[in-house]
Amino acid sequence: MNYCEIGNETVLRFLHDELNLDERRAFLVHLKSCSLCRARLAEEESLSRRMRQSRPLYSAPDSLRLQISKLVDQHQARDRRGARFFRDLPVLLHVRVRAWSLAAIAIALVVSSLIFVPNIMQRARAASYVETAVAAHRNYVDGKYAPEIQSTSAQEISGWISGRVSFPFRLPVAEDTSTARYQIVGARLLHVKGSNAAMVMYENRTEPQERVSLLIAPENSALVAGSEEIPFGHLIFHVSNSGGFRVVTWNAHSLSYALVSSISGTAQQSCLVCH
Amino acid sequence: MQDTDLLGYMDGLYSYAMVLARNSATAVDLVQETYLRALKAKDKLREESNIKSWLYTILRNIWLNQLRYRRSRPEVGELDADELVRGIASDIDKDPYAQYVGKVERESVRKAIQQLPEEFREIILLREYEELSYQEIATILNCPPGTVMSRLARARSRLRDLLAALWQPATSVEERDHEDEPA
Repeated sequence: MNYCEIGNETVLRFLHDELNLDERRAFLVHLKSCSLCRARLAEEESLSRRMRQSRPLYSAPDSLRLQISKLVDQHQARDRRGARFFRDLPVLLHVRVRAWSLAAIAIALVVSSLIFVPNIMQRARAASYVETAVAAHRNYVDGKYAPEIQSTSAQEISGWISGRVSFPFRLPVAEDTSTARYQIVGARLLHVKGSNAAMVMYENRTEPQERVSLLIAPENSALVAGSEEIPFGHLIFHVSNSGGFRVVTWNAHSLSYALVSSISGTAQQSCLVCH
Repeated sequence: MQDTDLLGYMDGLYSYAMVLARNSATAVDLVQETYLRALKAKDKLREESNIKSWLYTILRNIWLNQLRYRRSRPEVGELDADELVRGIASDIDKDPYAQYVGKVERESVRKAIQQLPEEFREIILLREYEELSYQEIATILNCPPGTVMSRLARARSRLRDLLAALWQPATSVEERDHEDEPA
């Protein structure tokens, strides 16, 4: 085939994981019959590989690191001084705190806690991302976290979450989920370190009580970590065991993903969720 | 957000500054100025904001302001040749030959990227090295996502041509080694 109506931009969008699920499926079908697109894709993959191998393009000089670290330290020290000033302000001004003002503060605290209780209840109790993901998963398994949307359509769930979080949400894209052992069943929103996060829920197709969850949060609010690292393409999966669950975390598209399951065996077996 | 959270973006910001300015001194200034402004403004940032995109946008705006200023005093842009061999991440866990091949390969890719026009250099850096999504890049560059797609396709095509013209990586290393041997 010497001509194909599929432009190179579609090939690139496929390569960069920018196609939605339907577009991706259609392109994969097209790819099977189009040698021109296969050749284009191979060419683009080769270029991407070459650039990946040349990372990092530049490393910041040590002198710059030192300067920026000092700058950050100075800024933090200033913040601390500012906080101390406000803490000591009543003393500095010789303000006499009256009993009625204490009562007013207490009432304000009670009212604000009533307003924010649902929010606070949803906030993850654990400090780290992995602990948060495990705590959320346990709530899901125990039936304490019900899905806020129920659907077996990844696209529908994706759309629902995208409209409710302030970061560019993305589900990991699997090439064909129809034969995967687990299927998507719903999602709900959570908070991780003050940021929005989405919890996507999966169930085993034949044994629905076997559940898997995927916590997705902005990269800057969630640190991925694990005792075992598995490189896969340009991704690195971090695998760990926490609270009796298997946790796989990774970063992609400025997001952090944490897949929590009871799947035992090798780390690769956790990939059964999507593949 | 803690101030120290910002430190993790330093290599990426420095790389972006280098592909924009092609000069290490200017790149250092750009990164410093970016951090200064970010630290001042971070309290106004919403918690769920995309910090990475925000930092890149700050750096780009500083660069554009500098360009506007320089245009009133034209000067010849210079490529800091030393940078082509400086600041390469060490490969201490690789054998010497792999280190050498990796270094030469990195240099050729960097050299090819630095030969691209600025709009191509920055889109290659943002997508291929910093892995930002098309939407995030569109926000930083203040252009529609469609422009990101077409510009990226053209940039990659040009980069491929430049790399092909430079040399073929693995074989050329061996050929160069043989060239050094006495006849």
